[in-house]
Amino acid sequence: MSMYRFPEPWATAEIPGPKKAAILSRPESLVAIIKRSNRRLLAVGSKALDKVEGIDIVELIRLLSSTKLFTIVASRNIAYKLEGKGIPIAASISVYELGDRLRDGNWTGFDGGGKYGLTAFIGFPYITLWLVLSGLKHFAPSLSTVSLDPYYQPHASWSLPNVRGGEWYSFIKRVVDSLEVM
Amino acid sequence: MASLSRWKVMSKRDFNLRVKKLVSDIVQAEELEISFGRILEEWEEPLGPTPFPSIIDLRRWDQILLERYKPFYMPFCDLCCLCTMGKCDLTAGKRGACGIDMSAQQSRIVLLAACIGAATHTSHARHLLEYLISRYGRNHPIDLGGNIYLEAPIIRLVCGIKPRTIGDLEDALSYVEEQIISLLAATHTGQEDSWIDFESKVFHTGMLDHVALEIADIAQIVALGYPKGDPEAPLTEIGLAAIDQNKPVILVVGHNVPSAASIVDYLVKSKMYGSVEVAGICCTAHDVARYSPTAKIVGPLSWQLRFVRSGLPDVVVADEQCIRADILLEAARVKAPVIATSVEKCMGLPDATGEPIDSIVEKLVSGSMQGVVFLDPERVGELAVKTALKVFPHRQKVRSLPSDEELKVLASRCRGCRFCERACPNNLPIAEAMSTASKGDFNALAYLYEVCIGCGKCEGACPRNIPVHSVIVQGARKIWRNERFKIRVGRGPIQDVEIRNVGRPIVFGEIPGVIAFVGCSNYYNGGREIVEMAEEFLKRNYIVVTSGCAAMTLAMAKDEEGRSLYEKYSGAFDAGGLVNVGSCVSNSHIAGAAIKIAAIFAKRNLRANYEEIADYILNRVGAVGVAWGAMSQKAAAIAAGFWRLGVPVIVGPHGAKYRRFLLGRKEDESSWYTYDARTGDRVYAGPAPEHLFVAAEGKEEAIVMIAKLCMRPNDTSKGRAIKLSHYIDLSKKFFGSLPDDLHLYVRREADIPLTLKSEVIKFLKEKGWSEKPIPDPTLLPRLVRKR
Repeated sequence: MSMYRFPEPWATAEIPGPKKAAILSRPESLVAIIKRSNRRLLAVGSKALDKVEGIDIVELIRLLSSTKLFTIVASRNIAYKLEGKGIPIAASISVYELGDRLRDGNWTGFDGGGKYGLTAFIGFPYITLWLVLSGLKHFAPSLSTVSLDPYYQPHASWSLPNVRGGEWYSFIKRVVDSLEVM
Repeated sequence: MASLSRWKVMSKRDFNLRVKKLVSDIVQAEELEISFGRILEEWEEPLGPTPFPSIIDLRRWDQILLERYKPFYMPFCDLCCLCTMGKCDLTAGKRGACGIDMSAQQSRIVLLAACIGAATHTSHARHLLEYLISRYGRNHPIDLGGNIYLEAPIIRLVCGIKPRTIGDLEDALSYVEEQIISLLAATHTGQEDSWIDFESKVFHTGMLDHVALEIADIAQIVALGYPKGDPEAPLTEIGLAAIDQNKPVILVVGHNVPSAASIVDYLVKSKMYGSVEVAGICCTAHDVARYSPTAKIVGPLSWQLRFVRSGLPDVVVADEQCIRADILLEAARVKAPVIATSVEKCMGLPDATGEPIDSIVEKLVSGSMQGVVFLDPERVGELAVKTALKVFPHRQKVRSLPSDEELKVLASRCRGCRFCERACPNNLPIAEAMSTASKGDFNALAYLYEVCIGCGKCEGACPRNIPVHSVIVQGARKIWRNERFKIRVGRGPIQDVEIRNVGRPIVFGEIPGVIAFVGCSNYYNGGREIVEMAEEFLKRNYIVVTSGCAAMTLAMAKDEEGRSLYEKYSGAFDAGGLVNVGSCVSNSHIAGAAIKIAAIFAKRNLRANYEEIADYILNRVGAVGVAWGAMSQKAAAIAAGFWRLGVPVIVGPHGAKYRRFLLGRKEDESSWYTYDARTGDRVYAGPAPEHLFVAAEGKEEAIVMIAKLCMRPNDTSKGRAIKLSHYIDLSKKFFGSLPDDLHLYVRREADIPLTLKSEVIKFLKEKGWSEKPIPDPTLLPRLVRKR
């Protein structure tokens, strides 16, 4: 397990540049980040119905959804399936189209309410998210991004390290538990 | 009129007159030489505004496109390391030592990639053309048969010339070469610094690339006797099991066909045809099958490792492009000599071009030389065949794959560290498959084989030196031992008569779209996905065209009756047809078909009239390119040519590594106004096509996106209703609901498919929809007819 804690990209060759994501080693850190953010968006990717590292991602999404702190949007092929599982989805959108809008300072969001202060991502193919986060790091530097997948994403503002499934689940669960007692 | 380049006054061949001695009433001269430059050949079509366009002649058109389809850059690297003032950190607004910012740097890298791709196709065209001219003469006619009079639509469109012989193609080729040098120069430190101009240059590079593609393919079609737009081009075999291992096998790999053709010629001449297998990988395979339909195709470029390691090839003949950099090492492991036939890929081997054939054969067979460079395409056939015949009995098809017994032992060495998975582009669950294989269950390995791109990076990553790729291939032996399918040989261009028949229904939207599945085999989730995508649209009567490795992948699946798509669907360029045009360079015929629709159906002047024709295609021709496994710089250049021509391109998940998309913003109404050519009014025409370049996260998203991107502002209501019926149906099938942007694509009530009327009208009411005019769309004010 300890090997996976190294702050290195899951895909070995996807080495970042000088600015790298801060590692979320404790749930309390993520709780604090979420608490101090306005207009939080949770972007759910095309692998959201897969089992990753032995964990059903949809269960984690359900937990995060239960906090009611996020506007949840999902990749097109997955959105209606999540809705079918009782998870409210505000919009279905490709992650590239989402990234293109998030980097636009004039975009007012899915509800017209203004820019998002924090965007969290979960359920994406590794390289897809790696690239979109790179675009956001460079072209939306004021946007805070969090990768909640169990692989270190160097271009996010904050990312989980490479973790095994059980650790991943308990991290998200502890975050959600803390948020629910807010 | 745009700026003049020297090509505009020298657009036809040089005229030189040499006179040893001239004596007349008015002049006496010795060693007289008169040179006229070039003579502009005229034909019935008037010369348009941009013959042989320079880098900036079409810049205005590019800016119109880029204003609507803005780049979203996703840097692959935060640094610039191209000069000694660096490395420079360009993160989040920083500038480098030269002053460049990240947008310019990314577009610069895109331009570099496109230049590499275009230079590769151009060099390919140059080698091929010089060889064919030397063999058949400059005056060999460009005769594509009785059904193709518009023989070179791209060359006519871009250069404004009408090539009649293969020698005439040199004019266009020289122009392309000159332009690519300038484009490459623009990437030097201290040159171009604006993203929009870099992007314009990317488009220019793509356009030039298409000229080079057309030169190469026309030349080889007419000189080597390939099918000339034949919808019933023969079927040939593809797959590892199609190769007869009881015969000597010559593997031809790469893209440039003369060496492979020479092998076929020698076998025919020496009456050994049929006793030696000629098997190809990548585009050389397509082209040797066009030359000789009994040649076999092994598969796409990602089949190189598995085929060589299977031990089947007795000799490897490599020409150029997309050949693995370790092909020599891999061939050495199975004791197969390598013959390198291109100056572009010499592999560190000695040049034996001038040596007697029998002497080279002896060295290759004895193993005193593992391979040679041999640059004589006329004699390489003899060398390859003689070597294969002598090597065959010695080699006994030695393999570098483990035996079934070794498989379990190797798999049990795995300690589950997952470094292989972290090296794997597809993040495949290798460790888990190793675990089950160590217990004798190879099913998980077989699954990996189906979705593996064959890169072999897993092996380099393994700390226990397990030959992971070989283990996967051997674990899937039951699959590839039965891998035998039918593929239609590349037919080349689309016939004029076919365009005449389908031009109207395509432009009016009644044939819902032309979809091109092209490019490499770097698939995120295996090749079966593009088979499923293609069949989805074939069943719906779209026209599906294909080329390159994608065309091979489309053959590699069977239905319940054992038929591949090529056996199920017609090869005609018509609704529900599956048209394999051929190799990478045959992509020119896909662009050419779109151009021909403007010329033949709409009777637009083609000659040197790029901007108008691209405007026509963008607004009227519902064509979409899908490069699901695009990998190379050449694919980038090909895509760029389609962007400038107004054809959107979708790539698969790995295609996002081209690091920028050209995305429209459908909700931004101001982006989607066109001129109505009848009135000059600015009219909202809807977000069609929505994007010029985008990746899909998965197959389902791609399918729905394809249907959407086929819509064009010019669609008639009948045509739009047909296109919407597919868009809605596919959206329901894969996304479970009506498209959330449906209101943007319904212009009038008559656009609504009849069977969906009540449902759609209810949706439109909720969106506050109102009817909009259908314009005669153009983005070019000069095409407005009313003044």
